Amino acid sequence: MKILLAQTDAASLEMIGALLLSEGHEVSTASDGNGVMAAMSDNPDLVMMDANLPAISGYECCRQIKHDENNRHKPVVLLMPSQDMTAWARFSECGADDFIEQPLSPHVVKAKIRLLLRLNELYQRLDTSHRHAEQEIRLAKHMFDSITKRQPQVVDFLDFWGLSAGHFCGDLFIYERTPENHLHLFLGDFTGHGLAAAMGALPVSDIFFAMTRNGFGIEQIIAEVNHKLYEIMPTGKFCAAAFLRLDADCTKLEIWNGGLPPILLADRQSKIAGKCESFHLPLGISDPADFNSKTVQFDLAGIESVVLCSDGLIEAQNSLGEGFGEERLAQVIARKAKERAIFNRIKSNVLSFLEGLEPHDDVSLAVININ
Amino acid sequence: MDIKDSNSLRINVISISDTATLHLSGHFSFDAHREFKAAYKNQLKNTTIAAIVVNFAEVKYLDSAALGMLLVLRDHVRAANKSLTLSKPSAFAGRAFDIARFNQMFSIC
Repeated sequence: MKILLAQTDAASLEMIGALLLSEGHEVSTASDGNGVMAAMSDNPDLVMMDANLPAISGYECCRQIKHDENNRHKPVVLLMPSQDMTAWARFSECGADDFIEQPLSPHVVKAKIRLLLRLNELYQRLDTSHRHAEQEIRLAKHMFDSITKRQPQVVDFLDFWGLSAGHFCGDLFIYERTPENHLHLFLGDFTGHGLAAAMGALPVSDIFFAMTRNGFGIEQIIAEVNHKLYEIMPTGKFCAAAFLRLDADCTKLEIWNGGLPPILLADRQSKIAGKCESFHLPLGISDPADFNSKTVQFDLAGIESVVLCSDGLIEAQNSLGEGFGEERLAQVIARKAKERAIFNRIKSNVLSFLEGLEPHDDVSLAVININ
Repeated sequence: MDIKDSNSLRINVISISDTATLHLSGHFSFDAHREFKAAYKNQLKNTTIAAIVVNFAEVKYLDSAALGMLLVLRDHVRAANKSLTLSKPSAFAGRAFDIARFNQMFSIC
């Protein structure tokens, strides 16, 4: 380990230096505060310095070291005059990790150095695992983004809004046209965030796109998606999802809802004219042999908007800990306001409800504007 | 937003004859993972316990990770040849069970 040692008293400097060398450490020295700050560029593993260094005091050096983002966890030991009350106050304010009272005892020096290096190792390990986690999140985000980028075309009557609870939104919203020009839509909310969600999203989107393009109906596709997730996901991980099929002429809607909040159909007067509750288990839980792929049909005569969302929207909490709730969503949809478009109305209401707080679960909102 | 501490999950286990009841109160989410597991683990090993009941009367909030933990518990309980019941769901828990159609997987009363 590289130890930076700064001590004005030459005899004591020599004594500690020899001790550290005998312990197998690499030692560099400084005789004042300027020397300490300059030697920080060599990135020592530990700094041991006199509290009362000339030029810049040990306290002040410590404060500056701890202020630097790269050195925040670097162990700093101050060599303190004994029985000095004002020194104690300054010690506790400067952020040093430990102290050794002078005159120094070689045993105390040895023990404290070992302790602090162990602590430093712990910080390093924490830092490494933190960086690994960050890398995984970036990978997951990349996977998720490339899935949604495979969206072949923009459907102009479709609005989607996602607000993430963490680094990225783990809700999956994908859509694709069938050869007969029907529109298939899928909104999925995976348990957990990050990599776990992205891993599930890959097979789901593969199956969704391939089977839709090959003219399969939603009952077949959803059964296949459940089969795949049941195979690959561990118990306790699943995907709450809704699958919708909108006819090419926008007159009929077929829905499979497993675990998402009710899907709402609003008419031209913004009245809720239809509702599709979840009537299935989420995907990845049912044994494929027991899986129920039955859908519900809706006639879209007089319907202007179809609203679907993840439970993150329903459960979005304001600063008082109140949830947005299904009732409030229904009220916002029905409210006659200046803002005519239902999508914008819901989005702005959720945002003002959150009062700038980050939601604790991913929020997804999709609105199909019929006509 | 740091509401975790005030909203964490508390678990009280009460065993009467062959039934162990886990009384949950507060917020049941991924953060409660360890406590929840620790609470049921001992009951699974206990040979005098034949039935495990999870009481949701005081659960203010639960998320999909919590539903996932219940599915894991369900597997363990089956493997240990015991029974599992989710009891007295609060309004919030009841709605979450409804939406996930957990009545198809669990006995809820």
